[in-house]
Amino acid sequence: MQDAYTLEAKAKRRRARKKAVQRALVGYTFLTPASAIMIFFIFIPVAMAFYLSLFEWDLINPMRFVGLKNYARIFKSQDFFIAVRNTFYFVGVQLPLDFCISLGVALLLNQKIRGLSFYRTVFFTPVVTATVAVSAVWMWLYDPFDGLLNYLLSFVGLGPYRWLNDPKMAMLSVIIMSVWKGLGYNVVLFLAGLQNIDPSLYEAAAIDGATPRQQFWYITLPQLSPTMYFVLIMGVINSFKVFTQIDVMTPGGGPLKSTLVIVYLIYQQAFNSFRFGEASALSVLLSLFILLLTLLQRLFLEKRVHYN
Amino acid sequence: MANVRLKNITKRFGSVTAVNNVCLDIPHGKVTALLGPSGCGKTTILLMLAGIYKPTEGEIYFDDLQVNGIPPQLRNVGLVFQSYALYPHMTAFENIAFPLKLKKLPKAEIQKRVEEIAEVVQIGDLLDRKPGQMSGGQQQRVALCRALVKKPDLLLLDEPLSNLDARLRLETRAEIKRIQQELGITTILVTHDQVEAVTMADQVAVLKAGVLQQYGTPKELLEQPANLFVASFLGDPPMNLLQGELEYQEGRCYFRSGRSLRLPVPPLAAKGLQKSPGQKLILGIRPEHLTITWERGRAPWRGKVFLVEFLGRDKLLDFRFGDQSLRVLVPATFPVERGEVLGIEPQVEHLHIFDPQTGLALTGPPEGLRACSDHEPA
Ligand SMILES: Nc1ncnc2c1ncn2[C@@H]1O[C@H](COP(=O)(O)OP(=O)(O)O)[C@@H](O)[C@H]1O
Ligand SMILES: [Mg+2]
Repeated sequence: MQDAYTLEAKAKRRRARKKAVQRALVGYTFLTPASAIMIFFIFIPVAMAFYLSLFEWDLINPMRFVGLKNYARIFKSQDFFIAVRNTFYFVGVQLPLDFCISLGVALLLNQKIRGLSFYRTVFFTPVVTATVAVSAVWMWLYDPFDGLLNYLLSFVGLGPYRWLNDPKMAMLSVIIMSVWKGLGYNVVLFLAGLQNIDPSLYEAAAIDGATPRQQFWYITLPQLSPTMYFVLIMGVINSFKVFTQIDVMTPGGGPLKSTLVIVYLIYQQAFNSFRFGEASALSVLLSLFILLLTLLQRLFLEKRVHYN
Repeated sequence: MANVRLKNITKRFGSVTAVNNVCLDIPHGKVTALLGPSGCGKTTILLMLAGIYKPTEGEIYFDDLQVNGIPPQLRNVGLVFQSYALYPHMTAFENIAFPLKLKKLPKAEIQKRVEEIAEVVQIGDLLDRKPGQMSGGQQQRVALCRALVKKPDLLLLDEPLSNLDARLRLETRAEIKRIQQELGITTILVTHDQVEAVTMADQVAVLKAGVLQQYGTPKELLEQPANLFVASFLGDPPMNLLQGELEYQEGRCYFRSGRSLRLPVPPLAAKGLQKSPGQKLILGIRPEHLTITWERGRAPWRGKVFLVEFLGRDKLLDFRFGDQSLRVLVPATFPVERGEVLGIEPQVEHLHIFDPQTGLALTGPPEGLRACSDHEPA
């Protein structure tokens, strides 16, 4: 009797184990496509960059191990500091502008207006348009001689400006275009965040005596804080990686290197100077820096975010 | 404050008329219930009183002040939302303190008043929690505190008990009543539950599809329902409604329904009736106003018990006459079996007679529908 029981229990356990293995297999099978893409296009390149950053390599001659010499060279080069300064200029102006304007637009669109989906599409169109195409169009607008912008400004007695050709204005010009292009993405995120707020909170606040401004301050902002946090984190990451529009609109780093940003420097080192080691070292530094910034944001901002 | 007066209030949302020409006088210091099925416009009326919605037509008065154009911020009303609408990012304390903070009261004063009201509502130990960390009943109390802390002239409660379980509902019902009496605050209670309305309110306004059906004390509504809707909506178990017609024999008036039901209509009840034989009528009588009698000969009705339902303290006997059913309430100890044949005697002074076309009561005092009587409809 005893034996029959134990046998049966054993068989049961075996069946259960077999079932668990089967389930795991199914799960991993579903994961395969996504994880294969992640491994081949993200993890391996990242590891490669770390590895390459310790070598000298020009694609033709054999790789030569140099230890941290690439890093040392970077910190001695003037271009690196120019690129860092320019990148901070870009991020420091573009990010707050983008954040505030997109929040403002989202608040406007969140009023009960007709044709919301039309406006949403209008604002989102630049986001899904290729950056190269948008950059080309903006180069026409910025044209110092027969660009639309100078033409329009001439009516109010301003200009003509040299925009992308002026070392003092080139970066600002790129920033304006970047804000215009990136706006819709954040608008859509903010709008979703705003529409998620329970309208009865506003009614309760009004009855509690809150003016519209106080309702914005005490209800909208805290309720929107998870969205703002997300927008900020993603914005920092994306802004530090700015490249395409810089490459198209101000090739070669712009007038007097005024738009030379870090990713552009990486590109130059790799594909103009064929210094893949140094380019990799720069990429590693940029990644570490973005990682550090993100961690800092989590540390200082996350406690202020109200998750419901 | 405040006697609240709704004068010919209509509210439309696009083509939907949520509230239709409602007139109500809500007296100071009392509890008034707005009772009706879901979607009949109760919340809409509350939100108009709070100033969130503007009436499409008509006027709202707080005492003699017409408040139609006054924004919610300036009305000094407290509203407990059906969903509570607590601010999720604030603790219970911050939620309750919010109206005072907006009034820019000093910190110490805020602290004092929040603690005072938390004492009354008995949530002192919850003040540090956020809404997400509280049960429905606790959130409800915090919402009540937030509504009360600013000492409002008018307290509005939107289905305050509907999200609570049965036991907590009973407790909270008594609690709200106690707090209301302690503070003597004019209160309007919205509910779809007639038991809640009858037990908590001093007077009840019954609504259907945005139209006021009857306004009176619970006793009036139960004893003199103005129409079929009020008669069937109030009372538990619900009123028996029998379809039939009038019949005259030897100068006496009878109500006949089918082949087996015939009842002399007492002269008092017959007074309001047109003396037209064959007139179709609906006769209403509550299950508690029917008595079982053993003297079968004397009983006007005789029937076979079709179903016995045990209700705790009472038993509900279900008789069938053709396709009509008649429910009778008897004490739980009453010895009765399914299939038994019993005599049933109605307490004729509790008979109600309705016009099947209009649904209006044909008996009882003429002031049945008195809520709008002193105003001309628009
Ligand atoms: N903001 C609104 N927009 C459009 N229709 C509404 C709105 N509020 C309520 N209604 C409609 O008005 C009617 C009454 O609603 P409500 O007052 O919420 O009913 P109750 O609270 O009695 O359940 C319903 O038919 C509802 O659909
Ligand atoms: Mg409602």
